[in-house]
Amino acid sequence: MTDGKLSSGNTAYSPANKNPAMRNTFKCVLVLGVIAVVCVLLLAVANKFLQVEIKLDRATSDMINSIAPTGASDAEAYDKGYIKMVDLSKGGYAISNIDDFNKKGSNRKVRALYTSAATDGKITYVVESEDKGNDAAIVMLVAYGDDGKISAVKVKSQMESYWDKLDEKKISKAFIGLSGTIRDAQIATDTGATHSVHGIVGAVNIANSFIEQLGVTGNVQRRA
Amino acid sequence: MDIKKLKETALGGILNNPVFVLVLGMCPTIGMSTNVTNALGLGLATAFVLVFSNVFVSLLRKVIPDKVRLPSYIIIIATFVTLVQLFLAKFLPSLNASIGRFIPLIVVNCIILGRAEAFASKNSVGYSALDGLSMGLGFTCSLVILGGIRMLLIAAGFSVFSTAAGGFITLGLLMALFNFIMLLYRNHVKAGLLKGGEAL
Repeated sequence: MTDGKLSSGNTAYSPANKNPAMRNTFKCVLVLGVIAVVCVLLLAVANKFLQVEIKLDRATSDMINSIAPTGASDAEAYDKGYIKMVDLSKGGYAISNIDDFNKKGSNRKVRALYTSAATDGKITYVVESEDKGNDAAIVMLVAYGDDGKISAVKVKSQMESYWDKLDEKKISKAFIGLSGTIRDAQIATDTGATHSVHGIVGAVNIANSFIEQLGVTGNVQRRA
Repeated sequence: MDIKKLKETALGGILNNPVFVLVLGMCPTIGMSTNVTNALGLGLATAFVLVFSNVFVSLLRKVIPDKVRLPSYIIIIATFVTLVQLFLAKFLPSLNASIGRFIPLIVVNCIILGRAEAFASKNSVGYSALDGLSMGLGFTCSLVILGGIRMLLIAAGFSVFSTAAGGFITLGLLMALFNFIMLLYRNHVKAGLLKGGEAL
């Protein structure tokens, strides 16, 4: 029967004999881990309250009025509601929820759908979409004609470092008349801002896909 | 309460101005000082991060082991920078569009890490918060002054001041002027000491 003592006569293992280097390493990892967890929780809570709600503001309305003209001034178009954000949940569309359309975890997504009602009664659909450029998200506004093809494109926002290498007007014009999946080479080549171009084209492509699935073009509603 | 230390800490943003004296945070200083609004926005964002990161570093100064102090400071600073970015995106989207790309750079702004290491890790929460506020406001004022002068010069037709080169020239001249004024002030204080007055 053993008596708990080692045959060499050494004292049995106890916490007091723990390797101090191991204890220090453990403390470092623990403190770093706790700080990281607390910071992540703080950010998660903040994210819940600080999520950006996409809504039609005056700046967006003015941009939409420039690519899908209502025939009215910017102020009138906004104040009188000629430009509206579409609430898909109210029904009447093939897609009832933008979040269901967007793939989870993808940088490429549709943000909103707007309608621009012209004074002659014609309604133009404008899709707001985004994709990641070189540095951050590039947000695009894409207007569609009756034939379902792109009638105009505008960059709503970007934070690209190499944006000055791009001719925004030339790129916007290159999209007109296109539909479906567009390749980067159809829009711009050798710009020196490849990722930014890829982001722009990606955003427009997701908008094209959305408008095709929505099935609203070719069936233009007239304002009463 | 140590009144002398309190005064030194409160006036640290002037006497040890991070831009004109310590020469820290030069990237956002040159990049964002072409416009007073952007300069003010970035300065206040930096001040917010500075105050709160100083407070948290000071609170945890006896807990954080020496070996992991820098990674811990970076995590804390990055958290507050992210909070600033979320706040700007939600409430100030137009300002976010202007200065948004510089906000993440606040994490590696030497002022923030420098003050956390040099001051907050060695002082109480109160003094650390005051130091953060003083340095942050000092940085903001420097940026705004630089931005205002560059704006005026650009409006006057000197387009060179919209470039980085012009920014450095303006900054250098302002630094010289600031340090000259500080020299006059210190000489005035010394003269006061010799006459038996109380020095700061």
